Amino acid sequence: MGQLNADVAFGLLFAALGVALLGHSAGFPPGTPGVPGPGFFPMLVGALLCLLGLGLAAGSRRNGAAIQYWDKPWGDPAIVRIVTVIALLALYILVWERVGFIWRTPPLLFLLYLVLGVHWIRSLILAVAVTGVLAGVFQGLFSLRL
Amino acid sequence: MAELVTGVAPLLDPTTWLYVALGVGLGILFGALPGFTATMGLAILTPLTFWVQPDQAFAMLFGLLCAAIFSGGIPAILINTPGTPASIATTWDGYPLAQQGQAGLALGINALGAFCGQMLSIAVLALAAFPLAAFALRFGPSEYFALAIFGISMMVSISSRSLLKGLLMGALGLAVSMVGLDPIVGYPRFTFGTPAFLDGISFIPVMVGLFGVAEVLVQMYATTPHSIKGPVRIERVLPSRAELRGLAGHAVLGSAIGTGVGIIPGAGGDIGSIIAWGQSRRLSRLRDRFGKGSLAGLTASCTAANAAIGGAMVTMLTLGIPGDSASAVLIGALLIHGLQPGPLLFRDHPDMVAHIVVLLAMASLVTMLFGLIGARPLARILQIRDQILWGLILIVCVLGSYALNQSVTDVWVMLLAGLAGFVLRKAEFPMGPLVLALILGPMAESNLRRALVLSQGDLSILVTRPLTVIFLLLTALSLLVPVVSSWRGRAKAV
Repeated sequence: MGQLNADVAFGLLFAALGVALLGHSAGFPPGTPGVPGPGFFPMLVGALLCLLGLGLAAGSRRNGAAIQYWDKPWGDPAIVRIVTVIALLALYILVWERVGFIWRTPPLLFLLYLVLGVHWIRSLILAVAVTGVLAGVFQGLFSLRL
Repeated sequence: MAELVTGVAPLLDPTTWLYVALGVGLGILFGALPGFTATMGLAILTPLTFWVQPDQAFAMLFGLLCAAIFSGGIPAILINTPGTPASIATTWDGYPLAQQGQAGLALGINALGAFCGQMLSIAVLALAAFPLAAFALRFGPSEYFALAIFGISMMVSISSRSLLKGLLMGALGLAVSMVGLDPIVGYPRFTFGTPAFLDGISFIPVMVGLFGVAEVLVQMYATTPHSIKGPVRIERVLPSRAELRGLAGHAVLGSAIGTGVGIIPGAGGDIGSIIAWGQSRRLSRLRDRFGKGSLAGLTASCTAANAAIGGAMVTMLTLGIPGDSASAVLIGALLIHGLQPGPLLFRDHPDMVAHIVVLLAMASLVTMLFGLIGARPLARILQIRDQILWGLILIVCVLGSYALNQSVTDVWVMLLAGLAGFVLRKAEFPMGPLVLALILGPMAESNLRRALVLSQGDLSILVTRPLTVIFLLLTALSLLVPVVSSWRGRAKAV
């Protein structure tokens, strides 16, 4: 991925978040000068985010500071590994209420370790062993239904 | 004093010792592995402690903290890589000693120095905390608001090279803290119709995501998995009596400096150990040996690094201001057990404060024993492969964030926080101010609004009460000092 001035992008993003916060807070009960309402503090924080975000973007543009956000191509093994790990974790959470802990955890760990470059036999052993230990700790010790 | 007597109770409970030992074991792992920090370990362990008694929870957490700071010295000595920032100065004499075939002795001094530094700073905590907290009981809403803002500003000033980025993370933390019912009148804010958000976004999953998942993702991105191959030879571990006599002065000096530096919010074991090493060298007759394998230099640096723990606890427990990210996470841990750090903690739960002091001392003792007896096996920790730990940490993060409220929504929040933490850290945004603002946000908001109600909307209440003014001036100072230093640095460079 090419050069991206991350500070400008993040500065504008935070400024937009600040504006959204200000807009949303305007709909809260206003309160009185003596008794500030629920929108008082969010307005302050929204204004702060907006000002700081614009300050970061402007300062970065003025200094011409362009930092390279990604220093690896999209196909780089590290990027692929990260994306796969996040996808596996998201899938694990999605099936949480449909598949029991004992059934959903070993496949996750096995795939996780495979993606991280651990040999498949070791991945299998780790997946089963770690699941057993975690089940023992959480369900046995803490009586927590996973 | 009566509180200290009741606080001794955990000493008599074998279960508490077991929990301390468990925390110490985990802490050694997190401290000894470069890249894994005490903060990360505390963030992952905190939600799991919800299921045990507060005493046992703090036994594990303080065990982890003490052991992680101690064991940061292990890779510093054996492979010249500090396990935690506090052990940077330990590399200067520890690694040369290892190269001279004295790795065992260096590890032994690291363990004894850790014990000495931690115990002396815990003594200072026990003596200074109650009077300081008694003074802080005079605080009203405006002081609490100013104190919360000061705490966030300190974290901002130490966390990043860019003040703006630190401030943005603080503001983002405040914004996230506002999700849920408003703390004064109970009006729902930013819930977008989701009942799960009515109670707000719990800081525990956010913390676990930012310090656990994000850290693993950053490591996956930045490094190829590695481990240290081959056994490390460990010879004599304990120093002789003559050596101990020669090192005692340096240990006391390091402990005093480390404790003093630790009390200052924002300055931790890293700064303390560097200052102590420098002062010890200045006072030593054998200053030429410093940096080449000096036992005195090693003693001063590792006692100071560990003494900062007790120092930081003084400020954290009495005022509710964390000195570093680890203290910020500990504030979160205290909160989930119904304890709000600050002066009220000393008024409402003096017994728990005394327990904390005793638990810290127990953790320090167990850490030293593990360090001395286990020097040889501890050296092998460095051989654990990164990938094994990455997988383990990820699944514990998932289960830990679920454990607190048994809510799958919390697990999603954790994953999103981890992803956001990774993206933000890549752009060099610090995580500490975000987490602290998330924790202190409700305190800041509710006290500001209460102060305004008391003054009938008159903002001058923030500039007419002396303590409030002092905290706000300190806030301004903490934010201005890095800016002025940066300008002066640039001016010198030109």
